[in-house]
Amino acid sequence: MKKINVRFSRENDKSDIDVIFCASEEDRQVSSLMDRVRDPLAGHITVHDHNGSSVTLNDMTVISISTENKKLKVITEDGEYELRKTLRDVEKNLDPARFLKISRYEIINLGKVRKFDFSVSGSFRIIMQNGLETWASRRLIPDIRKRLEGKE
Amino acid sequence: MLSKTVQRIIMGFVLGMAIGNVIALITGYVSTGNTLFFAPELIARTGSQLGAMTAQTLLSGLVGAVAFGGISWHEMERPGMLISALLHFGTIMATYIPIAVYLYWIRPVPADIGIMTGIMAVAFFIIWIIMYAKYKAEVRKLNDLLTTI
Repeated sequence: MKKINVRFSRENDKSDIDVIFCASEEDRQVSSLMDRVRDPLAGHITVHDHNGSSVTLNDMTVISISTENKKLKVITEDGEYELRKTLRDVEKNLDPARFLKISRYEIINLGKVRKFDFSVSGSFRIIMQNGLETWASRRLIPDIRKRLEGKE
Repeated sequence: MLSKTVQRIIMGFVLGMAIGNVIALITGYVSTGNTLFFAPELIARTGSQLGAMTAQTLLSGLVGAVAFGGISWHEMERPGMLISALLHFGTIMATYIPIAVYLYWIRPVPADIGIMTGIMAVAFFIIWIIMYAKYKAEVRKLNDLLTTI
């Protein structure tokens, strides 16, 4: 993922707000950012807390989404929530530059990864910022690299 | 993954048939100085030269099928590389040793079986070390990229 720099430029005769994205190419990350600016509700998901109440979250706070007992468990910086959708449905609405499906059962937020590890037994481990550990196939390593380099 | 495994088994079977006979020819020549396609004892076992050739070809194919098909162990999501390598090694040796004994490629004595197992184990270990170093380097690059986000 490319670094994002935000600047403000004052133009006294401007009545509207122009948002101009400068990048070497209009890749997935740029498209996703443009969508978010166009539609402020983009990048939000509605989940349910343990009382069953609906909560709308900014998907930037989501750490991982995984299947558990035919429902989705959404782990965020603030706690755990439930989502009554399929992983495939949720994946369509998530920022593809940031979220990666690491298995049939789990999607993670690459921006919330603390560290990757390759153990002596040859297992590829992903450690999230909240300490959560998960495992993924070694075959995902090139895909993750492309996402982090902003090439996909 | 199933179709890939089946493709590998078929390819392995064909390659195994070819390679098995070539190896038998080379080892026959090295040990006796004569051009032998199979061990003479195999003719006695199978009753004819055709029987010996057929047995050697088909059983070599089986070893090849198991060896190539076993590559699919390494594509399973969950087991680590070590477990995948052990499974692959185990299935190859479980197939190869009895076939090698039957075809008179090795003697049914602990020394021959031990040497063959040791050679295969060393080969697997070397491949495992190379792959481990490669993945370790790739994961290091991922962690370096994380610091740029």
